Amino acid sequence: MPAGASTRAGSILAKPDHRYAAVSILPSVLVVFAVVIYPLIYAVMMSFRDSRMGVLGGFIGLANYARLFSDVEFRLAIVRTLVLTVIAVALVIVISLGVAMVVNERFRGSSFIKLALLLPYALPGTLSALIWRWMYDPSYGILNAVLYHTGFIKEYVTFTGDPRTAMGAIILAHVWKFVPYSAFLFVAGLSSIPPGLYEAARIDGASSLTIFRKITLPLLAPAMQLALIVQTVFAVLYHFGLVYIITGGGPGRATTTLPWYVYSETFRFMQFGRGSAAAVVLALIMLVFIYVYLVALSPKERTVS
Amino acid sequence: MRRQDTISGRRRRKAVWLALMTVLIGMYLLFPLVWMALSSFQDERVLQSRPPRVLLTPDIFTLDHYNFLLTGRMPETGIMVQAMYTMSGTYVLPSVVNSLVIAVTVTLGNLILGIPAAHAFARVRFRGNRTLFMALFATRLLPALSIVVPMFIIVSRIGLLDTKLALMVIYLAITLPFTLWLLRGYFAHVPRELEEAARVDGAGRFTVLWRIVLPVAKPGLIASAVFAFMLSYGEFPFALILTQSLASRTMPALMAGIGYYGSSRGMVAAASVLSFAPPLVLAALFRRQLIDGLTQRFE
Repeated sequence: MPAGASTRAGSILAKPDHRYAAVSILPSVLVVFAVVIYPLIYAVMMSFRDSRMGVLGGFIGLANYARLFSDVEFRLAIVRTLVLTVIAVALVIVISLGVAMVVNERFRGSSFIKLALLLPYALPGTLSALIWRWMYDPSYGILNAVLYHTGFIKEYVTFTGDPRTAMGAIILAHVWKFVPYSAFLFVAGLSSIPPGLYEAARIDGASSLTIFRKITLPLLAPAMQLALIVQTVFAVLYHFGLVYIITGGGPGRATTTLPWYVYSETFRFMQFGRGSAAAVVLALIMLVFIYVYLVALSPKERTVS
Repeated sequence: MRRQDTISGRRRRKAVWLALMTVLIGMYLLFPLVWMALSSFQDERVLQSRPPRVLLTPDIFTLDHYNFLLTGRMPETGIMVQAMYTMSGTYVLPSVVNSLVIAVTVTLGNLILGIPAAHAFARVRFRGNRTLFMALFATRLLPALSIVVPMFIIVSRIGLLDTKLALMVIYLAITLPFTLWLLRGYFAHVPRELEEAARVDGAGRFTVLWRIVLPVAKPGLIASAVFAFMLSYGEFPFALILTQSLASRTMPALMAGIGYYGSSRGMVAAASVLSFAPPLVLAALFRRQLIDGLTQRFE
């Protein structure tokens, strides 16, 4: 660096490196924050205003929130969101860890599985929803056909129209699409465990289960933490399309989760204020989720890169 | 001798077990897609009959669905089938084009804005570097449904409903954080000495970035471009609410409204295959970079 360029002390931009950083980073920061933060503030403001039938009215304080929490359907929507999230995340973690352990054996099938994993990952969410709706079809779906001809069911079942199975149908479709992402994470985590550890344990006579519990799981903790966080985010963020396409929040309200509640309050019932209050609650729940994970699962040092 | 037998026996058992697992996993991951692809070539009457036919024999094979989607031409036979080809079917191809235009633009925007920003985050020490980076990344945690309502109001107020521009800007903002995260990882793995040597020779930061860093981090550029493309090509909630007319709908928004009961299953399947083609081709072409990106191998 030419001397003298950094003489204007005090200003952050005085050093060429800092100017470089500012010029490079500012555009991205502006775009992201303008598009994300401004509407978020807008949503918070709207949630304090009276706005039935789509017309924004006066400031009514917390009335929207009060109405919201006195609505049984809203409280149920929160519960359903939690149920969906917990079950979906658990299933994704178990399945993807299993898949990753198979891939980690580094045999001829490993690269095939990795390629196969890419396909559900690359498939746009709406298309996966259409595929699963077609598989669940009560009249001609392949799932009904298989279960019927193997004798598991006596007659065709309306999976997506039965309150007992509709949520399960949504969850299975979600899990299928998001297993690959975690599987890749776990493959990365497993491959960083030195094989010597396994050999040493096996020579000491440790069983597979002990090896899994005492070596694999602890050393996989960073990947596990990341997978839990990411999958929780995915579960809350990305099931909306499935609900929209497969069940429409029904039958009754059996699959009305929080995102669907926000959508239907706002765009079907034109309750903009209450919809916004629900949207704010949704964002807050997300924050709590992440905070709990970070605190409860924080290893000593977290390096993302 | 005996011990060797048990070891090779154990190996064989393991090989069988692995093969079995591979088949199971492969079926789990691929069957829904294969089923969609097979359905798209099946005669509608076969699709709407029990039990479903898995094998694609010549007597049930048809290109009618693709023919309709690509040319708008109705099949000559079967009034029933014609009635099931819904009007939105003719908008499948335009919607794919809409999504492609948006996704390509957003991808370029990601690279143009993301490359210098990620490099600065990786290389320049300044106060708040990490905090700012985490704050940017944290925006990824925000559910779309949390901001979709105000976004609808803002976008309609400035008259950008039904335009690609609104979606482009939004997608750019929601894809950038991941691009930054990925690229920062790749850039941090470029040997520092390479950059320093060039700078000692008098090259500026941007020159170093362009001439030294980018060629080394090319796999990272490809991976983040493909990720940005896929995300914006498939985004649903914003597209659903910000595009109202059939002609302005992106692929996900159009496909979400296609094929309710009574419409042709074959048409929906064929439309799904066509819509899946762009990300599928990208995933096939750049599988190496994608897998490395997903498994965080930043070399």
